[in-house]
Amino acid sequence: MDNSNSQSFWWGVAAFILTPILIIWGKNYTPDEFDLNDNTVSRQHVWNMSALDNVERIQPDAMSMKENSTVAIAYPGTTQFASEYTTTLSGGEGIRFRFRTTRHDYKQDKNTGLSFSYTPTGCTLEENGRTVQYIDSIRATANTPTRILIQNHGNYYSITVGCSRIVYKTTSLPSTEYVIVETMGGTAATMKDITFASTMEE
Amino acid sequence: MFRLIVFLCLAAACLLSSCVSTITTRTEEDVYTITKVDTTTKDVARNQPGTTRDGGVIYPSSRTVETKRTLVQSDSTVERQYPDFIRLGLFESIGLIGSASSGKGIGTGIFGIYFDPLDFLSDKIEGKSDKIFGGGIYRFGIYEYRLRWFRDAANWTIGSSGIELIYPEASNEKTLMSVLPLYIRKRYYLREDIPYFCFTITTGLGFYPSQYVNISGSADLGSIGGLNMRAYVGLVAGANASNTALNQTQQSVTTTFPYFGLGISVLDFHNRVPELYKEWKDHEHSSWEVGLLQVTLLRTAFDSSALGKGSFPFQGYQMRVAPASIALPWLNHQLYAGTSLFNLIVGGSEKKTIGSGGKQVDNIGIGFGILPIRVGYWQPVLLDELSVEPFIEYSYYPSSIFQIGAKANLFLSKSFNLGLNLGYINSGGLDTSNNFFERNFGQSIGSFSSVYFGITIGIEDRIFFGNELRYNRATTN
Repeated sequence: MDNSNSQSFWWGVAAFILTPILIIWGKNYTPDEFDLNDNTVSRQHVWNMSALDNVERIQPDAMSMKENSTVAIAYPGTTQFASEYTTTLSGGEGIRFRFRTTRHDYKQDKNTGLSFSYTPTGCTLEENGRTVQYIDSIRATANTPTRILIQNHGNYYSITVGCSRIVYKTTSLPSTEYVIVETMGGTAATMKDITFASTMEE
Repeated sequence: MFRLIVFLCLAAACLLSSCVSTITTRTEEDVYTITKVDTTTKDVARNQPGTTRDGGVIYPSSRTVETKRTLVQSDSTVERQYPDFIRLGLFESIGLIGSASSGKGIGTGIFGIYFDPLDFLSDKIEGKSDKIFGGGIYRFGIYEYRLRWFRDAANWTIGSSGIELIYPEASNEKTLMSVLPLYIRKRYYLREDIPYFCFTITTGLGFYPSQYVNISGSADLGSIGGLNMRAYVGLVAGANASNTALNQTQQSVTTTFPYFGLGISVLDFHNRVPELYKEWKDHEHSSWEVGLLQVTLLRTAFDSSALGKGSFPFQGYQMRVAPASIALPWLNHQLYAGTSLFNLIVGGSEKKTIGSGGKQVDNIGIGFGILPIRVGYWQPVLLDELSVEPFIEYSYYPSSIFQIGAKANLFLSKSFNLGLNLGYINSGGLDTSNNFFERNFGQSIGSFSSVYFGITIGIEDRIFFGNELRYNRATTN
């Protein structure tokens, strides 16, 4: 191969290989999305639904959220799961977990599905925006790591805060792959040891 | 030249149509698990044999209580499809000012597609000195995706085109061409409603067979009905290596030229970022019809068929490439303005005497128009499937064609439709920009006028229904 043919070959490589690679990279580069637990077989996909700097993955199983942030966490292909978070709040109004909804439904109407608010004044459980339970004995404490466990199985769901199972109920809402987490006013949250596990018996 | 462009158009069309859904659509899928729980309780009381008294609290009668709990779960999957491109286009043409050296202008016309027919059909373009638009840039199969770099900075795109041709002047060595050039663009929107108006800064790199950099700024208007207009200012610097397809000499040739250009693109669709999150089914449309190709077989007043010998029932044909009929804001948006990339009409064949010597030749009635102007009225007849459109159409270059008629459209699918035509055509025939035929034969070739009846097949030709037009939709988010 002479010099001009060699040059021509490499320019051809640039056109037919480099350009498609760069375009595919550009097309698929989504700075508002990341994976959790991507070093395990139970990987979750996270969409940051707030400003780009508001949410950050800090470890493979941990993320931090600034105040008034929203993330949608999906456990692809699994709707019957238990999800656990060791949550540390900085103070403020608290944090809210929504489940039995989807990212798309949430964009259409924030009140669809079940929501569990963990706040310094107590916990509130809502279904499609209607309050179904209020627990004032369990309160969020600033800067204290707290385990929050949400379990879905069939039409049953339960919520455990620390060692106390504070909710065990049934619902007619279909279960989905999503948990949507919102930090409320003045609350920054660090969520560690995020674990999703299927509750469906194989 | 003509064959090359036709080939490139067809190649781009085939490439786009074959993989169009893959590169244009993003699918989101949500799974809902519906749980149905049913509990059945069976309570059986069975008295002991020989017992004479009734059961009670102290001596309860024997009983069997059987509780069955069944749980049925089923997954319901919802799929939504969204557009996944910022720009997807078939063809863009730009006429360049200031790119050609003296006496080497091509004469591409205002949008770069008004080639002199002689140049268009020849393998070598003659340089001209009296042309304003000396060069042209042509892109086939254009696509751009959202590029979310710089912390998700707004309105950046990365993209390419199947092939890009840059003709600064009538010189093969200085012509730059690249397959899959890499383009990065940043847009600043001044109007965020359809048709969009924005300024675009562009950096492009061509790799093969020519190597070049193309930096430009442009004012873009569109898209509406797949049509866009752009005004460019830019600089191209590039080279053709020696002994390549474009440069047969032993020396590599470098080309650097600034340019000002006016461009138009057809079947070129442009989305802003918010539209990428609007489902296809909710997408807004501005046209009654946008298509790739309409072929009409014509029955005219000609003696014989231009399609071949024999008693073929049709004497001629009409081809409209990339037609668009854009709804205008009058008469309930049923009035439309339309055009097509080009409109070729072959009316038929007849014997004709030309020149002063009385020579008889087979004259084919022909008309060829680039970006003709069409105005019509779109009247749905049977809800969605059947519509009628009376229209007039005028082509001004290279043929002067006047056409008036009515067309009935039968919607078959989103890609195909059929039409029946009745109308009248008057074509001034074909001549070159310097009136070659007029000077040599006393007339242009192919002029004719005839009433006609025709059957149209629309290929990748989408007819939109009244309720799909954005004007007729309720405001959505």
